Amino acid sequence: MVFLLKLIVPFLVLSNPNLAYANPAIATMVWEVRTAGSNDNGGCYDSTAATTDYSVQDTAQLTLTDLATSGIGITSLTSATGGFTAAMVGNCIQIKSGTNDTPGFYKVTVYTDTNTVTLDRAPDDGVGGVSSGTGSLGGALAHPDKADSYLNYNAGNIIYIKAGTYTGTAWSLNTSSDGGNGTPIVFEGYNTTRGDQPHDGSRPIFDGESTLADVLWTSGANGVAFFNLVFTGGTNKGIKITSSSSNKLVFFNVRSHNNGSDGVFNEATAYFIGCELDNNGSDGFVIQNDRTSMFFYSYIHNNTDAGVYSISGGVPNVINSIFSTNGSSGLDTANHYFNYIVNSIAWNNTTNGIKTNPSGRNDILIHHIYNNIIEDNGTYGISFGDTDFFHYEDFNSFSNNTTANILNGAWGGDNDVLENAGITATDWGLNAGSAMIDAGLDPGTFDSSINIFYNIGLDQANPDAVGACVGSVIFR
Amino acid sequence: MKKILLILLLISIPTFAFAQRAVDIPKDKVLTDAERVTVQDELGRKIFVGMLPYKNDYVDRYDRGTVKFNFEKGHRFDGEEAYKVQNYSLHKVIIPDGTTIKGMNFSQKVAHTNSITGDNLTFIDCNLTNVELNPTWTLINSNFTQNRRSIIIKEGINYEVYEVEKDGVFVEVDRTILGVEQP
Repeated sequence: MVFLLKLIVPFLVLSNPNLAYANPAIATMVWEVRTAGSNDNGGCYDSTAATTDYSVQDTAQLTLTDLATSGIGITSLTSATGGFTAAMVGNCIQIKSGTNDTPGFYKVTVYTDTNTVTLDRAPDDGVGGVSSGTGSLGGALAHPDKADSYLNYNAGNIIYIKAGTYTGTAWSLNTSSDGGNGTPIVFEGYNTTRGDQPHDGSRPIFDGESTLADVLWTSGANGVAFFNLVFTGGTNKGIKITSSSSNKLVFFNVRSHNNGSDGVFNEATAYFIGCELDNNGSDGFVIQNDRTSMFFYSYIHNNTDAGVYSISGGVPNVINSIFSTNGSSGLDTANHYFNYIVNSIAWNNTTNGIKTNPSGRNDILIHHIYNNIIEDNGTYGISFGDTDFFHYEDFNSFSNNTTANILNGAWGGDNDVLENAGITATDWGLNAGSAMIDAGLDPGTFDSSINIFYNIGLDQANPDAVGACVGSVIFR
Repeated sequence: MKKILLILLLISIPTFAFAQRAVDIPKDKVLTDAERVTVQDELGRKIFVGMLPYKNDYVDRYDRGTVKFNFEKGHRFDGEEAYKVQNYSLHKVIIPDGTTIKGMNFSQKVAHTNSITGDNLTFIDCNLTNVELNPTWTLINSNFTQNRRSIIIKEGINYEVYEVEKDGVFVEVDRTILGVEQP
C-alpha cells in the first residue's frame, strides 16, 4: 500500500499545479515581490503577527537544508543546524525540496527553540515524515507569479510589488481562489514604501522586451485588484484577461503601453480607474463576451487602431476619461452598445469619436451621452449605427468632426454647444471665457436653488471664477 | 465690353491658381508649404491634428502617407514638456538624422514596413511594431515586434490568427474569435 501511495502521490502532485505549491490559507497574509528577491525565498508574512516581517528584504533571513518532521501529519519542523528565533513567528518558510515534502509556503506559528518551530500545517506529502528538506524563511520573491509553479493567493492577501523592471517571465495569474467582499486579492505596486502610490516611471514595470507574448495573462481570476503597475513590451497584449464567467477585476493607476497588439484584451467585468492605455500596436482596449468594462478618469490615446473596441459584445461605460489621437475611433462598440459616456473627451481620432451599433439588442435602453467634448474626429463625432434604438445625447460640445457631428440622430441635443473647446494634445483644460464652462448637465441645471456648476468636458476648474468648482480632475 | 471681359479673365486667373486641389499634386513630389496646406485641408481629420504632410501619398487609413516629424512642443498636465504629435502609426515619417524620440507610436500594419527615414536616431520608450529597423538606430525600452494577422474560418467560426516573428519565422501566439461587424 505504501508502495502504491509512493507511486500515486507524486503523480498527483505533478499533474495538478495547484497542488504542486501550497500556500497558507490565511486572509491576512502579505507578500513581498522585488526584482532583487528570489523565488526560493519565504516571501510572505502574516500581518497580524506582532513580530518582525522578514519578507521586506531582498535575501532570506534563514536558509536550511536539513529540515525534517517526525511523521505524516506532523506540523513540528526541526533542523539540526537551527537558527530559528522567536521573531520569526508569522513569517513564511518556503520548503523547496526534500524527501516526502509538499513544496510550498508555510507560516511559522510557534517558536520552540533554535532547532524547532511549528508550522500552520504539516509539510509532508502523506507518505512519510519530511527529511533533508531545503527551505528559506524571509526574503522577497522575485516575481508575483513564481517562474516554476503557480501561486494560489487567498482572499484578503496583499501582494506588494516594489518598483523596478521585471523581465524574462510572463506573469500568468491563475489563482484559483477568489477575492471576497472586502477581502480582494490585491497586487499593489509601490516605489520605496508600501502604500506610497507611485505614478509615472516610479511604478513597477513588467516589460516583455519584445519577446514575451502577453505580459500579464490571467484566466479565471475573480475579485482581484491591480494597483500602480505598468505593462509594456509584449509582442501581443499588455494585459490579457480570459474568462468564461463574469469574473470581476479592478485596475487602478495601471498603464499598458507599447505592446505589439492591444493594450488590454478583456473577457471579464473589469473596472479601469486612473489608467492609461497608450501607444499600442492595435487597439488600446478590446472587450468581448458581453462583459461590462468601466473607465473612470482614464486616458486612452495614441493607439494604432481604436482606443476602445468591442469585438463581440462587451459594454464599455465611461466617466471623466479621454479618448484621443487613436488611429480609428476613440470608442467603438462595433457590434454592441454602451450605457453612458459622461464628462469625457473624444478628440482627434481618425474615424469616429464614438461609434456604436447595438444590433439585435433592443432589450435595453441605451446610449446616454452627456457633458462630453467631441471634436476633431475624422468622420463622425458620434456614429449611431442603428436608428431603432433609444439614443439620448445632450449638453455635449461638437466641433470640426470631418463628416458630421452625429450620424443617425438621437434625442436631445437642445443644449449642445457647437464651438471649439480649444483643447490640444497636451492641454485638456478650458480657457477663460470658454463656452463649455457651466454648460454641462448637473443637478442645478433645472433647479436654480441648487448652486452647483458642471463644465462640458473633463476639466472642472473654473477659469472664469464664477460659482463653485466641482469634481476637480484627478489624473494619473 | 471686350475690355471688361479681359479684366474679369485676369482677375480670375489668380483665383484658379490659388484653388489648387490635392488630386493635382503628384504623389511623389515633396510638398511646398502651400501644397502641404492643400493636402492637410483635403485630408481633414483622416490624419491627426499637427501632422505635416511631406508628400501627397495618403492611400487609406492603413497607409496614411508621408509626413515630416513635427518638433512643436507643449506642456502636459504634470508640467512636463512633450511633443504635441506623438502618434505616427501607419504613416511614413521623415526624421532628421541624430534625433532622439521619446514615448511615440510608429506602429505599422504590415511587418517590415520601411516607414521611418533617418539615420542615427534614438528611440526611447517607443512602439516600433512592424517598422523595418535601421542598424544605425539605438532602441531603448522600445517594442520592435514584427507581426502579421490573418483570418481563418474553422467550423463556421471566423478567427483572427495573430503571429509574431521569431528568428525569421512567424509563429502563432494568439487566436481570437471575430464578431460580424455591422456597416
